[in-house]
Amino acid sequence: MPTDEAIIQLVQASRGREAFEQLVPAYRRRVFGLAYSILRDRAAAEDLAQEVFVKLWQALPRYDGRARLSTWIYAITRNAAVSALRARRRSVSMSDAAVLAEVEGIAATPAAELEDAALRRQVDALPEKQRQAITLYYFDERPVDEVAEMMGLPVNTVKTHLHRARASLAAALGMRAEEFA
Amino acid sequence: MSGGRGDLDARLRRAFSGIDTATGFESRLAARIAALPQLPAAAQRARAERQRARAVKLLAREAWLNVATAVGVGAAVTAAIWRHGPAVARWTGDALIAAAEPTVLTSFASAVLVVGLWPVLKGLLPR
Repeated sequence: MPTDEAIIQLVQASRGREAFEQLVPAYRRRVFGLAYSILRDRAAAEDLAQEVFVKLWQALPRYDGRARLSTWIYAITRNAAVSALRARRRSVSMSDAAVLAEVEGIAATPAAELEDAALRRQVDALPEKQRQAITLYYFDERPVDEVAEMMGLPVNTVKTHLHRARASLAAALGMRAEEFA
Repeated sequence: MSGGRGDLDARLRRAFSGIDTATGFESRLAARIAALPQLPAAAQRARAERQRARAVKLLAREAWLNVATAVGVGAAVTAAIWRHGPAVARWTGDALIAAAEPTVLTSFASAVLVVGLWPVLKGLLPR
C-alpha cells in the first residue's frame, strides 16, 4: 500500500495521474467507510465515494501539503456526505414498490444476515456521532485515533462516543451492563 | 441476559464485515474520470494560484478598512471628549446620582431582567 508521502511526492512532481492511481486503492475503503458511516446506505455511500474521488482527481493538482493528505481527503468526504444527507432528507420517502421490494428482500435473507441487519438497525438508532464512531471503528477495525481523524474530533471525544454507544447497544441487546460501565 | 464486551465486539465486526463497494468500483471511476474535460495540471495550478492571490488581496483590503475604521472612530471619540469633556462629566455625574434612587434602580434592574429573559418569556406567551 503506498504511503501518503509517496503520493504527495508524485503530486509535487506534477505526476497527478500516478498519484491518483495510488491514492484510489489506498483510500477506497476509508472514503467508502466514512461515507457509509454518515449515509447508512451502501449504494448511496458507493455513489458518494465515486463523487469524492472525482473531486479529488480535480483538486489533487491544487493540494499544497499544508494539511495532512488523509485529513484533507476526510474533510472533502465528510462535507460531501453531509450535503448528500441533507439533500436526501429533503427528498420524498420510499414508494410503495420500494417498500415491497425491501420486505421481499428481508423475507429471502438467511438468519445470520438478518441478525447482522438487526444489529445495524440498532446502530442506526444511536445518536449521530455515536453511530458514526461505532461504524468507523468496527468497519475496518481502525484504531481510535484514525477514527478521530476521520470524524474530525478529538480522540477522547471519540472514546466517549464509543463507550456510550457500546453501553446503549448492550442494553438494547440485553447484554450484561456491568461489562460496559 | 447473554454475552459481554467480547461478544458485542464480535457481533459488530461481523455486522459490518460484508459491507463494501461493488466489484468494478475502480474501473467505473476510471470511466467517469476519462469522461471529464481535461485541463492540464499546470493550468489547474495556475488557476489555483490566481484564486489564492485574489483571496489574499481581498483579506488585505478588509484589514486596511478595519484599521482605517478603528482609527477614524478613535479620533472622533477623542475629539468629542476633548471638545465636550466637562459637559459629559457633569451629565454622567448627574445620571449616576439619579440612578442611585431606589425606584430608578429597581425599574432599571427589572428592565434588564425582562430584556435578558425575553427569549424565554416569548416562548411562554400564547400564540
